[in-house]
Amino acid sequence: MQRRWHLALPLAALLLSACATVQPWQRGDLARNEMAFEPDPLLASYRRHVEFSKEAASGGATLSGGGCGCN
Amino acid sequence: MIRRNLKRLLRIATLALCGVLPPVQALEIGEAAPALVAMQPDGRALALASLRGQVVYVDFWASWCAPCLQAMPALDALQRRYGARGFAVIGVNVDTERKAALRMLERVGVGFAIVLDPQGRWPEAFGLSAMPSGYLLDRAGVVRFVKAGYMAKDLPQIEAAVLTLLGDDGDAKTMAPRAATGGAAP
Amino acid sequence: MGRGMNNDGAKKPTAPAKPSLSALTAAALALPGLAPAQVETDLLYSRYQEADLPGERSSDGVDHPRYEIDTYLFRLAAPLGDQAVVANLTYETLSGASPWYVEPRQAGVDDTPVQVMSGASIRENRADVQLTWALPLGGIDWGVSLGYSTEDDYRATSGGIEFEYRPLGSAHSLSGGVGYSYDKIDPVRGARSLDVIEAADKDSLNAFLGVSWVLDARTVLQTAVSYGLHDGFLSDPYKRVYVVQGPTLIADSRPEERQQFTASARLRRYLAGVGAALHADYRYYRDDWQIEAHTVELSWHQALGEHWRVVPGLRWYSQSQAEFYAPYFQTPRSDGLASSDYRLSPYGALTARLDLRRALPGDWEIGIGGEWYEASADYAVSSVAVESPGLVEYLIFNFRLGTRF
Repeated sequence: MQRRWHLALPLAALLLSACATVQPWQRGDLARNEMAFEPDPLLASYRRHVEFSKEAASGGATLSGGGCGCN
Repeated sequence: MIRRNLKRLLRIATLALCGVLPPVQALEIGEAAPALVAMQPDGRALALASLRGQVVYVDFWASWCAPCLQAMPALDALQRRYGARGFAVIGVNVDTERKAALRMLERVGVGFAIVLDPQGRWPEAFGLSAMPSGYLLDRAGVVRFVKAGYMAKDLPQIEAAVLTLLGDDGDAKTMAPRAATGGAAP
Repeated sequence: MGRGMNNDGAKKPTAPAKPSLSALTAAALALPGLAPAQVETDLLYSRYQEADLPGERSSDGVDHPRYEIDTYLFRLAAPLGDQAVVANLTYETLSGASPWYVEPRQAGVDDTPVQVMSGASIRENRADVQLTWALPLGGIDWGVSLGYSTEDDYRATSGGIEFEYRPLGSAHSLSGGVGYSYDKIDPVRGARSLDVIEAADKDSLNAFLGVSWVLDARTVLQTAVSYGLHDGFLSDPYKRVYVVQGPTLIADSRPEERQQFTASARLRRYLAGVGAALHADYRYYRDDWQIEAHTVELSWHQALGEHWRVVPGLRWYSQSQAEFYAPYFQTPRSDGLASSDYRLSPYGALTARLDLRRALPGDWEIGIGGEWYEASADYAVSSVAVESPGLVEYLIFNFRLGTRF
């Protein structure tokens, strides 16, 4: 099992890098706002704050800033 | 021979796996610009070769590319300043949606020539590595300067290259500092 | 970068254009040249309302109102040559009651846990300022942030550095960040219980690293890992824990350290045929309080004509319990730790969302949105023996107004 994982990782990396050849001028669809990882930073930060104050889990691809005395 | 076959195999494998082509061959300094023709927004064809005899800046842009939109007014100002001395800018739009290109054009409002290339033939022929990209051609149509990407501080460099090709390297009063610090085109 | 990195200069449009959503919205995608070229301002008003605690889960058998929060958020992003500043201001008013402790309905007779709510209605304000300075340096986009948040009884001072490296023309990008926060709590509602602590503080450190890939002309994927370390007073000074033996109420007491780890993936796929983007997010979470959690979020960003956008979304969340959690305890734990906070209990939660946007002439944008959230043991990934009676259900309504100039 361990050995198989060792093989799978570079293979996945190779596949991904092989696919990474969308030409710079073909990225119009990727540049659309709705394709952003976070199209609405304001609403996203609000939701993160609510979830942070009601759930045990937090964290991800953003910094979390300070906490709150949320009850 | 083996290497070429291997390359071809890789290309086919990539195409099969991802449905896209691997990077194209980039046009380099010293090479002649390809013979290309495209439609202008008004429907008339424009051939790159028809600008031969002038120093030409081929600017690739798209409505979705913010630094492209920052570069355009700056290039427009360059053409207004040096147009009389034989400098022309041609803006190659690579939007797949014509409407998006025209809407942005209305917004940016530049005076230089625009061609629409929704199929991306021009960027493919030039082997574009980034958006935006600019290629400065001398009067014989040979690439003399390439700019990949754009930031406001790049303008003096572009202007210097234009001046060199116009046969003028002693112009003390360039417009670059003003445009570079102000950000906004006059 | 999440907080609006950009490396663009200011540029005013020379001609008015027809409104369109694509031209209006804040661009933040990890691809070259997507920074806003104008000053962007955005206002969000949000009304958060928790459902009443139902009588069958409450200790006195009657319904109890819970929290209500009105939040005003203001965001300003202004380009300064190749740099930018982003300011986020938050002001909120909170009122209502919150869960205090959990007790058996009738010790020895009926062991069903029921919730006791804090008595007096709490009313407080929170103000939060976050400033980010974005600048390109050495081919990398950097963001330096400072933040300060203050409430009646709580102050948090935070700072962080983020980066995003997007090689020119490349299909990969790398992003990361390190943040620190110093939080101080000064309980003001101590009158109710004599054993509320005087004051306490904690240090928090968090870091993340992400890689994004362009998979094809319409698909991008981001994977990220994050780590959080909290050190200091991590308990809830207002909550109590019921111990049957006695019976007595003891203070909520948690370890003085917590380490959190996440691994997450975010996929974006544009479907040109229908003019929509599909967002699919997954996050795995694990901490050293033995909590494991999964989060799945799906949303569909549908353009309707040039001016409208509708975004339905679903979120599912599930967590296991902290090792020192119990609704109530028969005897105190030997390590002295104890918590009955529903947020450390095993449960799952479902969220359904709907947002509507419209672009208006003159670069304005207006929007409304709603969100329903319900936590329940039924939604948990593994079966829950005893559901916490304090699990929350809420509704959010929001209103948006934004412009750029």
